[in-house]
Amino acid sequence: MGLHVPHTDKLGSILWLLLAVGIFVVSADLPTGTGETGAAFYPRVIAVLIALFACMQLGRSFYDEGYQVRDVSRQQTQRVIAVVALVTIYVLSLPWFGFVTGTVLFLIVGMLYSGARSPIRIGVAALGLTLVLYYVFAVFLRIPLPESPFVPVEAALPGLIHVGLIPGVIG
Amino acid sequence: MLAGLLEGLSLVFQPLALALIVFGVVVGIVMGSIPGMTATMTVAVLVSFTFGMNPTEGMMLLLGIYGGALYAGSIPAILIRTPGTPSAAATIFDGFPLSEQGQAGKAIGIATIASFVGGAVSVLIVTVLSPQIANVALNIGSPEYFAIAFFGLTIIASISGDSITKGMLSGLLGMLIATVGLDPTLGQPRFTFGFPELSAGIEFIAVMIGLFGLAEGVNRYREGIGTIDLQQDLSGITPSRADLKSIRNVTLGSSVAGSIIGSIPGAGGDIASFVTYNEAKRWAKNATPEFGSGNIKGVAAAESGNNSSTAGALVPTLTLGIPGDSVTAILIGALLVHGIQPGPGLFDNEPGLVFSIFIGFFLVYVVILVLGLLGAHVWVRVINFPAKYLWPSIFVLCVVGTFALRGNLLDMWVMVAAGVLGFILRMDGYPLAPIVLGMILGPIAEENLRRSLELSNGSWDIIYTSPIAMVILLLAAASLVAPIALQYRESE
Repeated sequence: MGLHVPHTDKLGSILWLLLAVGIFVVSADLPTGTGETGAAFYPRVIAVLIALFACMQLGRSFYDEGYQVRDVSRQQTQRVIAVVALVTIYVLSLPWFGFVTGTVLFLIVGMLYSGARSPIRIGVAALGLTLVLYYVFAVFLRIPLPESPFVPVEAALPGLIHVGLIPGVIG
Repeated sequence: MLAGLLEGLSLVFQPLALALIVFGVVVGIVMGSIPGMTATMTVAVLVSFTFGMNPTEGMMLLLGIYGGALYAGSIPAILIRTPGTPSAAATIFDGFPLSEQGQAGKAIGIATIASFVGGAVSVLIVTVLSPQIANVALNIGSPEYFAIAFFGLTIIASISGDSITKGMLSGLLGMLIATVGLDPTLGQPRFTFGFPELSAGIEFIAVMIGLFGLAEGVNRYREGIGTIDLQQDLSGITPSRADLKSIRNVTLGSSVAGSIIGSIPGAGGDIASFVTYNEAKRWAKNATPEFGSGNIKGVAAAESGNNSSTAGALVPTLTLGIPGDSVTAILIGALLVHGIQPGPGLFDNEPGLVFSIFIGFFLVYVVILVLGLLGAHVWVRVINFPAKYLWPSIFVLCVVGTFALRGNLLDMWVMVAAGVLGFILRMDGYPLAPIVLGMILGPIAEENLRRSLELSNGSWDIIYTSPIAMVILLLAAASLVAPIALQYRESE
């Protein structure tokens, strides 16, 4: 079963109008500051403009019905959900698994899901890219990457970080 | 100007800066050769590599990627009738017929020469004109600056998609996202919902990576990632003297026209290449072979047009702080990460950096010329790079690039949210470029609008009594009304 969404422009316009109303509600708590130009002033100008263009789109959707239906097949829906879920799990896993383990696992699963079947190629690509990115960011550019409190792979990595070139950057 | 030029030369002619230009061009060509990898996406997912560099080195890398990716979009356009980047769509018209006639090497050679001329001519034009524009911009006040920011948004919305209302709504969403954080005038927290991390605002580059990297990837999976098996040998890549003579005028003309089109905010390489291709076709009456059936002038017009728009886009970016296209929006983001604010003051505060950008961009096109002609056989093979290995790697670059911004998890969630939102909006026909441009223009508009109103004690008179601001706002209104009127006329 796929997704069938009719009247997308009408639906979209209503969501935009709700957003505009939401901005007014949320900005009611903002201190008005001095004069008319308090913190709430500018977001409310934007909200008015959003409402204006949403109304224009809603008006147009009544006489221009073309292209207002979105059909997404079951296969497509599954692929989108799977990819978003994979990335979400990858982001969630980083604080626990650390960059190296988390990325290698994500790449292996991601490549398998994408249709790659050669274990050697997958292994080389996953490990190679992870290590290249690790050394470029953490060692060369000195930008720390997430480390795992449980699987301290980063500390066990051989090479530049342990010969004292970049002391204090990692761990 | 001379001092800035000399300082720029000394900054660019450093071993690391030069190496980054070459590396950037190689990366750009590789990524741009792969169908579906746009210049915007490539720059967005790789911008994080510049965070640990100084501003000049970072710009050299990004400009190399930008120029390389834009040029390389022509390779799959010529060989497999699929533009590597949207800017290369017009190259298909004559490039692919040449390929079908067994002259793919000649088409790539012409595309390379035209890309070099387009890029080089536009850099020269921009180098001369930008300081003058910045000088004028230094003297404009808050009401005029507000009007320019608003005009930038309307023109971007009006040319970036089929629906102006959707373009404007995208732009306004970007402006709204930019209001999260501390209010710029009074310093009060706004829309932070109790999360202290949000006080610093939503990181623009995280949104960019989500919109152009993750959303594009998710869309690719929706469509199904296929494989390409291209087996084509190239010969005769270096154009003959007669070919060069025949494309000379059309290349130079398209280069000037592309530079002008590129300098209009929102009008990127795709618009420039279609305009220059159509103009070349209109001017070349009784061309043999006909345009559309393998005329090298068609390839030259499209490629010089889109490559010249790149430097043109730097004009509003550097002189006004208003991005010329979505890639220059990322360049602004990268400069902001280094604490550098693009705008008229940049020419006074950082003359060396400004001229290093111009000189570096010129060198980018020299490198493209050399690598394009010498390495064409290699770049052709890149088209076959399997998507099943590529896209998971792109997702990793999106995540690690976002984390590298500030080292916090919130940015990664912002990126994921922007990716999902971008995918949904794109599915429903909303252009994504206005969102990021709105995020840049929004704070400029807010700061100048509120400053204007404070100067006038809350009276809006200050906006419409300024003749310059009024003219710009009328242009903004015209840019919204004219396409609507045209659409109405067409439907009638």
